[in-house]
Amino acid sequence: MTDRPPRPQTRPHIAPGLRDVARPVVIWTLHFILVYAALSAACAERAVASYPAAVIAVSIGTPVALVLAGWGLLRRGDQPMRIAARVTIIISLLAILFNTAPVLLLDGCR
Amino acid sequence: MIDATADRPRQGPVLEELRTYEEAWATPPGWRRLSSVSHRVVGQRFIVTGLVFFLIAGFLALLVRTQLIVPENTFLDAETYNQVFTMHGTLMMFLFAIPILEGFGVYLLPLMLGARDLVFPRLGAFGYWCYLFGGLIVLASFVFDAAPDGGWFMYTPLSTKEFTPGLSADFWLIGITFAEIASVTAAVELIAAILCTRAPGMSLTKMPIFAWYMLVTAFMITVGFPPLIVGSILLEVERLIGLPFFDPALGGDPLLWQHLFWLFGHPEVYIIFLPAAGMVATMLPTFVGKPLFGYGYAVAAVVTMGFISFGLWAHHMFATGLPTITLTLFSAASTIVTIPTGVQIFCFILTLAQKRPRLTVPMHFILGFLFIFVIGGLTGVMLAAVPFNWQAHDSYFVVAHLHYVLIGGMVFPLIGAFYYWTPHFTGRMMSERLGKWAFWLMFSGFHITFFLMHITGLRGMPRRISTYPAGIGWDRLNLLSTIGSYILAAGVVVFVWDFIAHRWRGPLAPRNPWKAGTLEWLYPPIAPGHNFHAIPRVHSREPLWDQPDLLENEAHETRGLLRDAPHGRRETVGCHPLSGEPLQIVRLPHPTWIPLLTAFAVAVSFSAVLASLYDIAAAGAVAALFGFAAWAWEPSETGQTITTNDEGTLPVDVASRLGHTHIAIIGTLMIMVALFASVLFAVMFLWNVQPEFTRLAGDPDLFWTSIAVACGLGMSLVAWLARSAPMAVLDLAVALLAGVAGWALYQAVLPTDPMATALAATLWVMAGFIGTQQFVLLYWSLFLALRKVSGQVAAGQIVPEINRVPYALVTAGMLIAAAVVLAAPQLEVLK
Amino acid sequence: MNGPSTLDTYGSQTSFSSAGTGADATLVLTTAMSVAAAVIFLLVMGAVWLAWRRDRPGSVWWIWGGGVILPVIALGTLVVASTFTLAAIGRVDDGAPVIEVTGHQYWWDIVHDPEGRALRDANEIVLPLNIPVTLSLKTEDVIHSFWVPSIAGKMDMVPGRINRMTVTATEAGRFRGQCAEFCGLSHPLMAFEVVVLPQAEYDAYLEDLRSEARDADTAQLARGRDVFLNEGCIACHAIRGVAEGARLGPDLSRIGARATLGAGMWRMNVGNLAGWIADVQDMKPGAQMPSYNHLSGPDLRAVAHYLASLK
Ligand code: HEM
Ligand SMILES: [Cu+2]
Ligand SMILES: [Cu+2]
Repeated sequence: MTDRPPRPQTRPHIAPGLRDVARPVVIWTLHFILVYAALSAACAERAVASYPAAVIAVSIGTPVALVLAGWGLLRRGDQPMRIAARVTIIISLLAILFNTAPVLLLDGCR
Repeated sequence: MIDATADRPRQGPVLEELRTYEEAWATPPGWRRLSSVSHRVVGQRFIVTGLVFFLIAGFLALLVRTQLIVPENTFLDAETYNQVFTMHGTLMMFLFAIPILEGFGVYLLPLMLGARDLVFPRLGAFGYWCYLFGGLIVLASFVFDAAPDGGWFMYTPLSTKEFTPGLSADFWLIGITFAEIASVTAAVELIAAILCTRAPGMSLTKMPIFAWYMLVTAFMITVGFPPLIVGSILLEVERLIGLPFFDPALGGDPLLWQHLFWLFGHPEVYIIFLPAAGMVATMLPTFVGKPLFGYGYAVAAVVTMGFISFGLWAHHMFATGLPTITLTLFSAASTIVTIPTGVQIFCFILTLAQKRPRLTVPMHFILGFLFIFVIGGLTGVMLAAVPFNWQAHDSYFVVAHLHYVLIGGMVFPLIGAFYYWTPHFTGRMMSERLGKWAFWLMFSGFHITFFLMHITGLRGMPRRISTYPAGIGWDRLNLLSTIGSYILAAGVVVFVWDFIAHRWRGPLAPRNPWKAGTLEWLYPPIAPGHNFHAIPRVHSREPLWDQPDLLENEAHETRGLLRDAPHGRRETVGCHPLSGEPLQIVRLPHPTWIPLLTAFAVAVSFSAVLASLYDIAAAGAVAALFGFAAWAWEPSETGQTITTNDEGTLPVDVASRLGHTHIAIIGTLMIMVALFASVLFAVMFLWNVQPEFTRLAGDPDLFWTSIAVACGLGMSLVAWLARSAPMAVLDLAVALLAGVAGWALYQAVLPTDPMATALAATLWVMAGFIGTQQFVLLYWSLFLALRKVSGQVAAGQIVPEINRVPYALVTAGMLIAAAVVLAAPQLEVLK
Repeated sequence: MNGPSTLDTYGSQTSFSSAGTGADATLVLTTAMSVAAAVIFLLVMGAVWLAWRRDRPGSVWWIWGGGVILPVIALGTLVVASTFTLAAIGRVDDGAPVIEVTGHQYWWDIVHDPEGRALRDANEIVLPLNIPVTLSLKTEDVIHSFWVPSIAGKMDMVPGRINRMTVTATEAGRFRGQCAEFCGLSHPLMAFEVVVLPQAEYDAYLEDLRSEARDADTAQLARGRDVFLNEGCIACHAIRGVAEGARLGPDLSRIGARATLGAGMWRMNVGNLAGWIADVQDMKPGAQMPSYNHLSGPDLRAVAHYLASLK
């Protein structure tokens, strides 16, 4: 053994914002799955759900997703991971908004 | 030409301690080189093999273009033409683009990251042999006059037995699935390598940008390939024994294939594009002489692309009659994916702005990439507009678009990368003069060929037609496209000639020939066969620029970790996945034949399925299992420690969840979960689109289902306990419970008839998949028990136990999900 | 390939000249997008050029402006515009007359008004001018795709599904369509003709589909008809009033009136008809029709003349 300081074994703070890089895109994924599932439930043969139900699901899910994905947008800092987090958050927010385009622009399955 | 002999670097041991080290890393001479598992050797194999497939596929493309040079040409008959374009697409996409990029990753990453090898060299070698054998199976179809002719996306029902009798489709399905094993194993290996074996101090944010690109790509492969693997298995099973997955009369749906195919197929184009973009992001700063502008932006762009590109697959299915609202969802999602791409392009542009770059050959190709790829991206956005897509889809417009993206986004950077890194492979520079010829020929030929195709397509020419009538407005355009393709091919020939001839004509490369900042140029580029005698501590993203001592000294005198460990074993430093601080010493295998033999056994097994020789197939599979066991049999070295002068004492193969094997298990589980999710998608999809068939094939047995779940949970519990009490008994218990769970699941689906409906057939596949998972656990646990009984394992060596826990947990989770799926239709009725 | 192709005599297959509401709206979108794409391309290349000449770091706002803000504005506009266009041209008109088109390897079966009069024709679709018609698209075997670029975008024909698409032709004349989904050996030889007629002529055409096929009124034609009846042709082909019911091959009741033979591929004339019957597999490999190369010369000529007379 040498007398060097112990190596960091637990999560070190070398990558502030790493979680903020991953989180928004994961939220985007979940939101995409929600929209796709809602539309598929309402618009396929089986029609498990009605179209309004799908719209309601999307209208509830979207603000939630926007908040969860946008969390941390205003955190400051210019370490690379912070910047990456900020950019990821913004891109994810935009992508979530775009995913709601179908229910915003159309009023039925067909 | 510079006289490079002057600064030709000295090779060979100058220090006594170097001798053992170099002996340990020596590549076996002669034909025993085949047993080498070093990433340098394996990477170069991937690259060269990929290049050969590129040339074959390119030759096929020329046949296609020659057939279309005039209307009603009789150069190729329809059958040959269909085979030719199918094989062109298949070879390009599966056997050229992905493997060659992974090859570059395999070769470059350890060098850039400061590792002596990849963490799982044998897995890499195994992957290569799978790729080679799979590719040979696909190529062999030409010899048997059974070349696939259903297009590279093999749409059902055209590819089913009814419309494609004979073996051609089987060659495709089996060969490609086999080659895909290579892609996914390489992906797991790259993930573990990037996260676990970086130079001391190389935190995630100090990682070369190429590693980020490859990391995201590797994760995308683990999630993106499984849908196609599942789809191929379903189709092959339908072809072999007639389960009706895609037969609408029995509750199947041809669109299921399209969904599975494009769930893979769209991410695939990003999987091809990202590594190439990563190469650009690595080469560009070198020529500008400044670091990449906006590292954080680029990382964000890559990560978001890695996710969002999974939400676009149905834009390949706009004309299949999906509901308008679904079309709009995928249309919007397809447009938004350009945002991260745009961010990335502007990172490149701003990098360029920092200083006037040197206009070398790779730089030409980078500029060519920007030019072509931007056009491809813009036509991609156009194609995302559904009404336009309805005109352009399956027309030559799409052929133009996809080649702008693939050739511009991948081939141009790749050729640039060849010019850039070839000195590293061979120690010699390729020719600047020939390189410029290659570039201008390729660039002009490319535009003549493909730009015109946009117009041809909008003038109504469908793709995949071997002949067309004169006078509809396509004649001249096609003539010019064909001429252009010859020019493009001439450029490729110049490049290939240069690549071959530079080995004797090219000037010797000086150390760090391009004045790059990344670690792979630390050693003089005359392949010494090993990477780092000592692994230097890294303080910056461009260590060679910011740490001048690195280049001031002779490379083998570099100060760093592991320099003073002269015990003749192959090993490298394992790091903390985030901080990059040393965590462990990773022992690496020496050359071995086992990967080759195991891959050969699998190849025998796959080819035997193709020939319907099921006994041999089974024998091959068993042999492969023995191969894996022999592979993993070596004594565990956990618990040993090594004292280094720089970083204190480090354990060997640390028993921690941050260890490289555990990270690899997580990567593997991502593949497994994605496979399972693909099957689940198939179940839900069929259930949703063919409701009348839900219960027609009989109901699963819920009693046995619950037994299966109970055993699965028990198995996880025991596996978890075994972590703190590693005893053979517990391993046997895990094996037993896994076996019973699998058996119970079989009993549960037994009452349903898989031949009766597609849904039932898919449920059987789901059960079969989980059964395989159970079998893995069973085999693994028996293996561990055997090792303990035979004294291979000392106390405290619990790495496998730690790794088995997530595997068992995930499998139990799959069992629960499966139980819900099996029970749901019956419970629905109760309600 | 046998026989001269004569497609120069036909209407266009290009999406650049639009003769239908769908193609028209799409062409507007295409033009707008192409212009926008060209401008954006020039802007980006301009940025590359500026960057090339510059010698000091630029501002990160370029990334935000060029990579995020401007694209989002452009893409937002695009999504809205394309979705509204889609909603307009993608709407299925339930009240419109229906034409059922069924894809076969490698030809098209056509039934006007399938729920009502069920008037059958093949490989040539007659549409009324300026009247919306709903096409009901099916397939008998593999996936095909129905595409008449000058009239509307394409729609696949998928086993197990019926895809519907409403089209309105806005210009009288002939237009060429072609199967756009790879469907096997003779996929390139699976085209068809669309004939757009003013209302009155269209009604006359439908009326014609109702009546029996033209009689064989000369000795040679009668011989041809007998060959047709006796050589097994009727196992697959129907001719109204002569042999009805067979569905495996195209209905031939008015084949002589069609401009093309072999699903939009060859000029309709006696020579090509004879060549076709004698050697289908050479003209169209993989077609589900045997070559009748055992027919005697006179028989072949007779049956070819007979078919050409069916107008
Ligand atoms: C040497 C340069 C190349 C030329 C001249 C070329 C030419 C062509 C042509 C003319 C087609 C259309 C065939 C048809 O529709 O009948 C085609 C299809 C295709 N090409 Fe290429 N190509 C080249 C390189 C590449 C590369 C580098 C890739 C991918 C990395 C690629 C991937 C594809 C794919 C996926 C298809 C579709 C095949 C199918 O429809 O099944 N090509 N190519
Ligand atoms: Cu795509
Ligand atoms: Cu076709």
